[in-house]
Amino acid sequence: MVGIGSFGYSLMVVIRTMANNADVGGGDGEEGEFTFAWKMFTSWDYLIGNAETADNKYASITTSFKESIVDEQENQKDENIHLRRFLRVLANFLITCSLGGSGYLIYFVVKRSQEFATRDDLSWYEKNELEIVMSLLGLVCPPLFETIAELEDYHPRIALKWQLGRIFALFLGNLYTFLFALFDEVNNKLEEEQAIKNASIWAMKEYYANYTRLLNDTDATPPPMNPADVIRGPCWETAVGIEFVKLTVSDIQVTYLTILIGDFARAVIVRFLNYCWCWDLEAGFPSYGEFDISGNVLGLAFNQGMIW
Amino acid sequence: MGTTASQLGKDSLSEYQELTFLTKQEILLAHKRFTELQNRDERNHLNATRVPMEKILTLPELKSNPFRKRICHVFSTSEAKDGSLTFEDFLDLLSAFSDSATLEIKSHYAFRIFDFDDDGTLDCGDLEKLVNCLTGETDDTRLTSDEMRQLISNILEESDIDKDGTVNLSEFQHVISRSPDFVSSFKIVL
Repeated sequence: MVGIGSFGYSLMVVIRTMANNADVGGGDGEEGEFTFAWKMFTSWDYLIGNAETADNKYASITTSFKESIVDEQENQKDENIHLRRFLRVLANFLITCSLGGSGYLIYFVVKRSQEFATRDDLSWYEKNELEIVMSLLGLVCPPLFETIAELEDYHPRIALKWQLGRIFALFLGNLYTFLFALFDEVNNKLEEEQAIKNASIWAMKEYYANYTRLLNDTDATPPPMNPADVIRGPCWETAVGIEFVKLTVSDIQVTYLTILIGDFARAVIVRFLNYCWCWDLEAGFPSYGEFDISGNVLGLAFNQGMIW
Repeated sequence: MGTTASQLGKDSLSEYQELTFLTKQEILLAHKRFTELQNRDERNHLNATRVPMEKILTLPELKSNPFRKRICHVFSTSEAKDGSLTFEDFLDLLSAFSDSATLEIKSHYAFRIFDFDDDGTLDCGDLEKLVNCLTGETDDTRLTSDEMRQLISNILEESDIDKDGTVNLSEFQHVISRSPDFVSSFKIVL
């Protein structure tokens, strides 16, 4: 519990500093056009020397101000509050669904892996299914959240905060479901272990009974049996450890692959194909990958959490 | 002796060239125009005399400028704060408005020009006077007070990052540096 608490706390701190930095520093802050401010500060042309030109300029500046004011008022009126609220509720609903879906998927896969453990003829995919699924979820869901968030029409800074919060929920949820599913497995194994222990004690007692009967009630000493040789059930610690290691490794592999394909190969393709492609690859769809600072840092924190 | 205009010494010329963004040609032209504004008897004492603001404002380059008085006040080093300029003040003015001046210099001076009450920030009063200057002085081109309020609140919303109700120098420079037109429009050439 303490471990989870400290992990959650460190994650919160990281997210908060990231959101703050995205506010103040980064290029994606309060951008957009400074329409009004520019009109005010830069519209006068200081090279005008003629009185008539100046009058014309005054008139044009005035008209431009009035037009932008009216524009702005129109924009503010058009905001249909109800539609917005509806869209936002819808978006949140979709996201909760996907979060729940991912949690369920992980649970399901862990259960399946338990069944797989009993079989012996497993393909590579089946052996590593759990890890692949978890890594893929971590990969696919954040962009999914971003596209759904388009519905919400928030200010970019606020949208960023929501996005980070959702990614955090996703990772935490995944980790928890994973842990719970593993706990289930561990409990099962513990029961098995208990059952085997009972069985072996019972077998020992049987053995004594037979043995003494065989030797006609003499108090023969039982054959020395080294406690370490006592039959022990499946060793659950190793299994859990193995699962985690597999998860970390596959996560690292997926990250490498993403970086390689997502950024490097994409850049190469875009740069070279741009000469012979119909639309401008660099501006439009698969442009050069942005360095998603927030997403990557969150991934790092998540990996740390896994190691803990 | 009385008919020839005073010449600018070579040393002074190079010194001015080093200290400002102006070329030698521009300095000589500025000198010529400035001495035309001066009275005859002042022409030989270039740096000691000040040309009063009214005369400066007769320059065609400044005559139609809505900020002409502010410009004179900003560049004036006179203790009486009357907007009168010496030749060096005049060169400072031209230098800041020249083609080669940097964005920082221009935005710095622009800020001071727009700061009508000289308190170091652009508050609502400054912005209102600014808008009135830009829309011309006649009554039918002015904005109504509603429009004025709307405009000022929009501007503050856009540029006031720390939300203190005024635009300070860094916020101003932040806005200006992203404007594509500022450097080319903030120019005065004789």
